[in-house]
Amino acid sequence: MSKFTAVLKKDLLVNKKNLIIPYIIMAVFFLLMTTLILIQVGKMDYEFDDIYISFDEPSEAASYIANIFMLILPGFLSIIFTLLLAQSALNEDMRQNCELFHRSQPISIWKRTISKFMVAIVGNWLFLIVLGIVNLIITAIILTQFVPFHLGKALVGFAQAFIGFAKFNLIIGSLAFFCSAIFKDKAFLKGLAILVGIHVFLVILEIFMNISVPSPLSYFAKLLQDTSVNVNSSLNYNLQAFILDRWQSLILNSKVILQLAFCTLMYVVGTLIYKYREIK
Amino acid sequence: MNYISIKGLSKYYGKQKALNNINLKIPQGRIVGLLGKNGAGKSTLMRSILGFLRYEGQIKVLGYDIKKNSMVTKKDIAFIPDVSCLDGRLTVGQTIEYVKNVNSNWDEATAQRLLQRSDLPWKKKVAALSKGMKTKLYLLITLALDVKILLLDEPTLGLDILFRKEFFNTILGEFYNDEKTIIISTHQVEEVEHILQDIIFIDDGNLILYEDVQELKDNYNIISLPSSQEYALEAHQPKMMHKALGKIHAIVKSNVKIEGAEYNRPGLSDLFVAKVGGSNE
Repeated sequence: MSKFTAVLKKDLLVNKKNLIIPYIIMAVFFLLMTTLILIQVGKMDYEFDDIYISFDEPSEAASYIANIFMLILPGFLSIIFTLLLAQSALNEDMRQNCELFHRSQPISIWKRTISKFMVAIVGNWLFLIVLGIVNLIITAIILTQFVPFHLGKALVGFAQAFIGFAKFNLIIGSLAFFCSAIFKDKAFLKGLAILVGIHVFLVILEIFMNISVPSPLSYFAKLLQDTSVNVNSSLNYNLQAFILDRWQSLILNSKVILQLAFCTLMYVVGTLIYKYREIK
Repeated sequence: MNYISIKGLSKYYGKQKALNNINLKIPQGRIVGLLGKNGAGKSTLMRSILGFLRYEGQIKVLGYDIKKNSMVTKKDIAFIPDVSCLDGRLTVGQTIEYVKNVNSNWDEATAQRLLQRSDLPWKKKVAALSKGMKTKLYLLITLALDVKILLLDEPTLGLDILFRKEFFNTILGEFYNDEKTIIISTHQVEEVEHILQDIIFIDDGNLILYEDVQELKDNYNIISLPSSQEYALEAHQPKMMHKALGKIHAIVKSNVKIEGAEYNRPGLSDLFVAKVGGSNE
């Protein structure tokens, strides 16, 4: 087993609880939904035609949209758990009083931090993928009762929803990871409070002294735009055009490079702060 | 060969000087005691050697400057601080597997031998272990590493006497040979002084003494006289004097001879008090 695999395995083990809880929440949710549906069976009197879908290919659109909507709840859960894991990535060992033990092992700091970064972010991507596949099966079962199921469109819906949340998690997780190198406790909240404080200060500066300085909070908010999954805004599209438009706003644009650069910067600076932090 | 060479080592915590221009050369195959009051700089010295702290000066381990080669040196140094710094979230088995997989110099045969001798519960979380069990686990994962240097920073803190004895006996039996160097920092110096070959006294960040233990003990005697003969001792510039049970005891150079006096060999703690002064605890 390589050193990195060993570190990754260790990080997965110590974060097992936070990685498993989202699955448990979703399992409980599905169980409740199934129970509700079973209770309502027979009482339901819906036809597919009763549902208004403004796309020109309703059955294809249904397969596509269903797989986007089905990932919204897991998506929000993944954001919460990414934040929880990332904001404790570089300070949890210190709080657990085992930093000395881990630091005295002959593993490079970069290997240790990339492992922690991966567990916090990729761990939740895996959760989204697993839930996406489960949703795909569920939507296939449900939709085939009413209309033809289009696997291709369903996969595209799942992929776009996944990429949207994965990007959001990556950006917000990177910021939380960076904060964990600075603060020992509630790192993301403290980091966010500082960003809000700076923003308020800059607004006051602009109002009273007419000095305009770009706010890091506004920059961060702009960076997060176009990562959310929003199909409500304009449904009067040709489905194919709509899908292409979503691809462009999700990955096929120059902002993606900025977003990736921001995440890399947060990881590198966070690791350097952690690397040069003294262990007294 | 010098395993550890320290040149002009100084360390500040803010404005407070924790180490002041330390110069040391520790050769291979020695068991070195590090003795000092609380806050004297013992842990700071050890953590500087491990590269955990920023400092002024130069530290070389096995010929490598640790600022430039921290990974190379970490491979050859094992470190046991207070045993409660193990990761309580892992089980015993996971801890052993983790250390085994990240250390290329893991000796499986030694690990198995130590594991068979211990009664460590493989599946139990480290956090749920008693301090004695944690000590056994820390010893196992440290002694199974084929390293050249072992640093022990108050490793037996809070352990009862049986575990303390077992700890040092295991280290001597399983780890030490004349190619390895051990540095031990402990408050219970009486328990380890029979195994120490060299001693370092450190006080207020300054290196007070670095000497061969036997030579140091040979240079001094504890002389005891009736209290009424105090004047006879004062003439020989004693290092330390105290009265007890109607007698006066003092540490003096071994060449001092006083008629009717009792002579005893001093312990390291006596010599420490004589050289450095009383306790600040």
